[in-house]
Amino acid sequence: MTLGLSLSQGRRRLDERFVVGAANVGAVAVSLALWTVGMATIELGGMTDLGLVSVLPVTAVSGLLLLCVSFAFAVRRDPETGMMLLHVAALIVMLFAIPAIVEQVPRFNVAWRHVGITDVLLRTQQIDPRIDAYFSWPGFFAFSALLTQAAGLRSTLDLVAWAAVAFNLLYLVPLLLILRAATRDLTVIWFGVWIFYLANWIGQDYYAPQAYGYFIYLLIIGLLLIYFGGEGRPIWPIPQRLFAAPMAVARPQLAPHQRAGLLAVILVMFGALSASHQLSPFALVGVVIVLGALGRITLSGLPALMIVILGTWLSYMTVTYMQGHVGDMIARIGSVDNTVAANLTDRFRGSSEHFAVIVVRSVTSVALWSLAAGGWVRQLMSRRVDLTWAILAVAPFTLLLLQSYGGEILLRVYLFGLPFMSLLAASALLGSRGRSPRRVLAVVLASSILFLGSFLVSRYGNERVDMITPGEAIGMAKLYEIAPPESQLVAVASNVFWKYRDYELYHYAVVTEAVLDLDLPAIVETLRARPGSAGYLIVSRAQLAALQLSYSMPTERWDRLRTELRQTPGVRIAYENPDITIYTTSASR
Amino acid sequence: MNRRSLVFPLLLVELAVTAEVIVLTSGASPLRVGLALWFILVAPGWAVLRALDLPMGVLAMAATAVAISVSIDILVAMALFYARWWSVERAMTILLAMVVVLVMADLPIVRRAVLRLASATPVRRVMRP
Repeated sequence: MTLGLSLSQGRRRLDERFVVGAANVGAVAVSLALWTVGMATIELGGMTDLGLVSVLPVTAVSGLLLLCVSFAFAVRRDPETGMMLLHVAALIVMLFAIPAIVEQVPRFNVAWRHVGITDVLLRTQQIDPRIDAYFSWPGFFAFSALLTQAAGLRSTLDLVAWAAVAFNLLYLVPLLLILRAATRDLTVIWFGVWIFYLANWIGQDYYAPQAYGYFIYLLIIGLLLIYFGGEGRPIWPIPQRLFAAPMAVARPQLAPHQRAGLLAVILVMFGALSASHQLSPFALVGVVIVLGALGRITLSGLPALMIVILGTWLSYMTVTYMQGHVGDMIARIGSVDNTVAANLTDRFRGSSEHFAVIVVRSVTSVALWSLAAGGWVRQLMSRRVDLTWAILAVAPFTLLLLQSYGGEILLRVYLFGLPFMSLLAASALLGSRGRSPRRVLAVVLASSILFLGSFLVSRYGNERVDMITPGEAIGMAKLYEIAPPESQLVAVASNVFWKYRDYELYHYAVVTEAVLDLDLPAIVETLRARPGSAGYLIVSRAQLAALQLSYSMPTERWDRLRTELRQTPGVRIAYENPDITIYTTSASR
Repeated sequence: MNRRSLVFPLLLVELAVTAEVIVLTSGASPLRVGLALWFILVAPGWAVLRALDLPMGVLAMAATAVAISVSIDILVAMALFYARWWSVERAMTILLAMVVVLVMADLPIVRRAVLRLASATPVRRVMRP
């Protein structure tokens, strides 16, 4: 009788799991369908300074919300790997593929610049570090050249549009390795992954060396934790019980040749990273030093090896760049007030809607960090604490001491700490004691909705500035047709997508200050700055959007600038369409 | 099928050679794009991981193969550019040679010899992350 009952209970439970699983798969399919319908009906023309969220159709948002609901149901009790992967993959596509689907031209001026650097390598067949800093860290661009030519692509631009989706998919596996080293709790692991993507508003996953660098950063940390993980050791004066937690996964036993081989692989990956990006190797070395000091990895000599590789690259291969910049770089070390000003104070400006976007970004970041702190305090109170993850979460903040990194260092600090912050935030939200499926459902759903709303505002808040219309693309192509090499190319705002071809053959200048002051003589003087060469002034929709967004420039002032330019002696229109106008001055003597 | 059989190494080499031939002889086509992406993004790293025979799950192996492949691609392409000897044919040939050497290292006969020389420590699998 008892056996009969338990069999029928077991069958009922199996049936229930099957029904729930089928419902989850159906929900993901419906959410993708709703999102696709939303993508088809999006009207980019009505976008405001709030960015893409201002034109996102209700159907697309409904699709994303349904996915969050389905995830909350799937993760609340014994999450299954296949189901979780399905949800996370759908989330990645639905969050990061939006611009690739709705915009006709690949977005973001910096990605176009990276296409231009690849073009230089393919055209000149050499690396000339005298051109600029990119050519002292050319690894990613050399790879880009190889990929472009091997695949027979017309241009590297063909790789740009879907790069964010590809990179975020790549981040998933190393992220899982890291989180699995931290905890056995599958609900915390998958909720941590979910938070990681919903909180990744930074936008450093476009076609760029840092996107590749972040993948290597995550993967090396994951491989070290899994294959070279240690049991941890205390550091004076912190009590030993704060490091008492054992590694969450059993370390696989490797033969000596496997250990040596894997170490060689890690060093090769680090070598390629050192040749590709300025900042990522420093962040990785910092994490490896922390892991070594805490006894979380058994390779005590690895940080020294990494420093030797990085130092060798910097000493021999970046000499041309360093000669002109090393004094400036050293002077900036420790200048935290300037770094904070460049990263925070200078960003809080612009139109009211843009200001709202900046506030949402700041609140999201502080909220995530606070949740992570809460997660650690919660661990501390439950006496199941492991300080390793908290230290890894705050370790990237030491990068603030180095320099402002063009006003972006705080963004990078956020990004490098994000996996650990997400983990701690997930454990803070879920807790460990008295966790009922209903409570998990409520917590996951509520926080997912909040993070989703913040993501859509934060991530695509600058989209009016970052997107490129077909008209602008045609206009820029025309510019390169008509402007002879050595011409002076002048932009009114720095978001212009030039340098995507013939990178080193032109001279470039940006005259934002003069434009804001309506200082026509200064603009014309810049156009004529190269004796014997023509000057071309690019005035486009995206640049107007940038000036409105960041400087609240009124449209009337913009119209007055264009009118006065037309009336300026010696300045004529070389090309014009509704999205772009190119003014030129003939070659001066 | 035995993991260490000849089928997989031969398949990897055959695919790599096909990719190289298609890339070097055909014009732009979806087949070329697909093969080139596989050859450049996966093949070298896959060959390295096969040679190391790490206890690793499928997803972790795929991501690590991509990371190793891109790193090797970077070092090969950069060396050719610095040496002013760049051509996509040379880069592809070097990568193919690396894949072939690594696949040979994966052959049972070579493997046994390396293991005999390297260590007597048994390889024990605890988990597949």
